[in-house]
Amino acid sequence: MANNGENPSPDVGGKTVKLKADDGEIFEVEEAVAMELQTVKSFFDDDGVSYDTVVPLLNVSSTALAKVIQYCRRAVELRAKSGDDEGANEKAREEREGLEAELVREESDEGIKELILAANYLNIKDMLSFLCRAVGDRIKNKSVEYVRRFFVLENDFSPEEEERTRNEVAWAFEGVDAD
Amino acid sequence: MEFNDDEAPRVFVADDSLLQRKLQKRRLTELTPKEESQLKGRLSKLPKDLINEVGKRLINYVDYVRLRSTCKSLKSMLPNTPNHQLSQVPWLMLPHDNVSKTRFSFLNPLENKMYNFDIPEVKGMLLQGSLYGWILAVDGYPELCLINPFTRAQIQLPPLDTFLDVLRFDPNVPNKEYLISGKRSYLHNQKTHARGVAYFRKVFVRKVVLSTNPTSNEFTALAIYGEFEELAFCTSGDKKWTKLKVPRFGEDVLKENFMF
Repeated sequence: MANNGENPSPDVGGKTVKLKADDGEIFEVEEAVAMELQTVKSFFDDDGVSYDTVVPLLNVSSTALAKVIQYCRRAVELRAKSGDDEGANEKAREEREGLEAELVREESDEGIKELILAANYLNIKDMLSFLCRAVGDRIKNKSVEYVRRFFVLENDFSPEEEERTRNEVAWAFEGVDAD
Repeated sequence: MEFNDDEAPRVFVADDSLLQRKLQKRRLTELTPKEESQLKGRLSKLPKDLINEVGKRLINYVDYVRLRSTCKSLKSMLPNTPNHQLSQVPWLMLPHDNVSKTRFSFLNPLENKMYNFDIPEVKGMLLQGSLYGWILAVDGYPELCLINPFTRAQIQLPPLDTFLDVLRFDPNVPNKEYLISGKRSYLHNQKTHARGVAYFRKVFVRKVVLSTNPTSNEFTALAIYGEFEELAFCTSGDKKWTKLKVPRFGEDVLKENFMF
């Protein structure tokens, strides 16, 4: 294991998996965490693929991958904590929600979209789900134009179509937050 | 990047402290509109199916409508009436002002906001809500339908004159358009008696309950009707109401006890 000299490398007991981001940066991750990424799991499910193989994740930036790994690691820890105990489950659920909130809180709009793309590509269902909910919160009570800018959508309605759409649901266009 | 391009990428053991430092160095900042237009070509564009995933998780119907209004492809991809569970908190429908008989106010408790809009289809009708977001509009004439106040779509229910007890409807007999069967002691054993459109608008159908969202292909409607609070049902597509013989019941326990 490489030691960059700035930090002593922790004792990574047990199997690890190497994941390579789009810029070539390699992340060595505990196997249990790596398997949270269904894309990675499928990669190794194929016969004859050794666990030493570096998994190329061409569509994921190292920034996004770092965050994904951090989230999945803590999600795995939390899942280990919950069990038959109702109280423990509840606590784990709260902690997980706190973890999700923490992840999105400081994230810019671009960052959150990048995470959605990563979570989608890596096939991490729970992560994709809460990220989409978080985006929903961000466009809550925003104008149609704001939503277009957020998703980088072109208004391809003709003036007549646009007029008709607005008339059909005129009530929905009132009282939105100022852009 | 932190390392020279001609070096082999370093392998970081991805423990948290290292990751934290990476995250700090590569903070993504929010774009100002100016930066946005400069970077337009490089901004992340979610494919439509992922925007759909966002749409499916919107709690507030109004946000859903606005998302749908952004562009053509989303308008066609997101169904007009969303299939997913929007917030189950019902909107409160308030009576129209006396000036316009078709203008209604809807209070969305989630936002604590009032929306006003026109539903010309229900002019002059008596309304019942709580039908999975649809409204039952009754004007006393036989035609019965459910109206979606937001899309103004309509779903037909069997007409009022298909209830078993209703023998006929004749619009040419003012105030006695309907002929109803059955003995009523106060009518001195007449076999039938007549009622007008006004009665049918205000009183005849007391309540309708649906088994599920009427947009599904198979829903059952249950109606409490008539002077003696009798029961009838129909399934989607039925041409008439079918009377049910059940022991006496109370209106409030209706939905709980009846197994659809």
